[in-house]
Amino acid sequence: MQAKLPGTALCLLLMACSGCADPTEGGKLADIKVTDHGSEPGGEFCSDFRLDDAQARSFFSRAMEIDTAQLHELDTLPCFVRGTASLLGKPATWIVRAGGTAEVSAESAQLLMACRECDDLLGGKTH
Amino acid sequence: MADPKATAEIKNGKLLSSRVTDKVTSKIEKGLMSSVAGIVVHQTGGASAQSALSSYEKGEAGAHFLVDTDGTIYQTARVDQKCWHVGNLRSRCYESKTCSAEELTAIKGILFKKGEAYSVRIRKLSEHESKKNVPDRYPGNSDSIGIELVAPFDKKKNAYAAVTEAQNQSLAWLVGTLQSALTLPDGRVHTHPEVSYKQASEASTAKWK
Repeated sequence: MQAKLPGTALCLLLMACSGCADPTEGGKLADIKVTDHGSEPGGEFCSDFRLDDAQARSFFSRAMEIDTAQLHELDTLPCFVRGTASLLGKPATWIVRAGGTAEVSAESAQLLMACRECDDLLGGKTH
Repeated sequence: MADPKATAEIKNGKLLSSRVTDKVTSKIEKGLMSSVAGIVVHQTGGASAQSALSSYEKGEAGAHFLVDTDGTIYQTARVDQKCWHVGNLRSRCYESKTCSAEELTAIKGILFKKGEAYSVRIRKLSEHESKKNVPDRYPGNSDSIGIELVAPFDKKKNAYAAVTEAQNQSLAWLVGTLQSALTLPDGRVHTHPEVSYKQASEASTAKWK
């Protein structure tokens, strides 16, 4: 039987990040707007992944910052929604993937994020 | 410089060779692995071997070998022990478009299930795949050896750093040695994104042949 990183371990993994913080807290990430969506090869199963502006804001309010080693442990799904925001007052772009990982890029800073309690936004029942 | 013709033998799960430094920690060993069906090549996402070794001491995910940027090979878990290095498995027949009609229906039923979070679908697909045997599925945590190549992840480029020449030389020696010792054919060596839903650049510049 296939062993895998259990859900509790994933929770600990996300909670263990010293940089963990709600990136929308204190206006760090604001003006979140969706611009487009898409999928990469192999993403037929998630090509219906969409977020509207409110859902994108909800995602980022629940997401935690992760480091690059933690990204390695998480699934990176081939479907995404992209958008714009401001990061610490500077223009930024972002991408949220259907598996719950996200990247935010501004000229001087990049954030990696993951949300472990966003199933309702990522294909789950209320989607 | 490492001897490209260095000999090796496996004893008590350890690869004994002048090219391999023993850094085995039982903390990432997750139980007996009765047979090895494949090898999975990874990149760490961290800048140094030390950061990976420190993370292994926390006792969660880890792989059997770690290759530093200068080509130094560390053995970090015994090859007869499972490690958590793969995660959720992709469907091999779905990816290669070789599923039987019945199997394709089952897989699509999992992947395209409306109202179920995509991450749940991926986990269920992996559970479904785990009931098969290699080579009908990709090798996973239960039956594969993981080799981690130390490499930082560039957040600006959103990609792993290129594998160094020294790492590729060590990787080729290590893969060849393990294939001989464990009688693994060429088709049983994969990069992490081949077998699991991972960042596409991971190990994309790794060469072992």
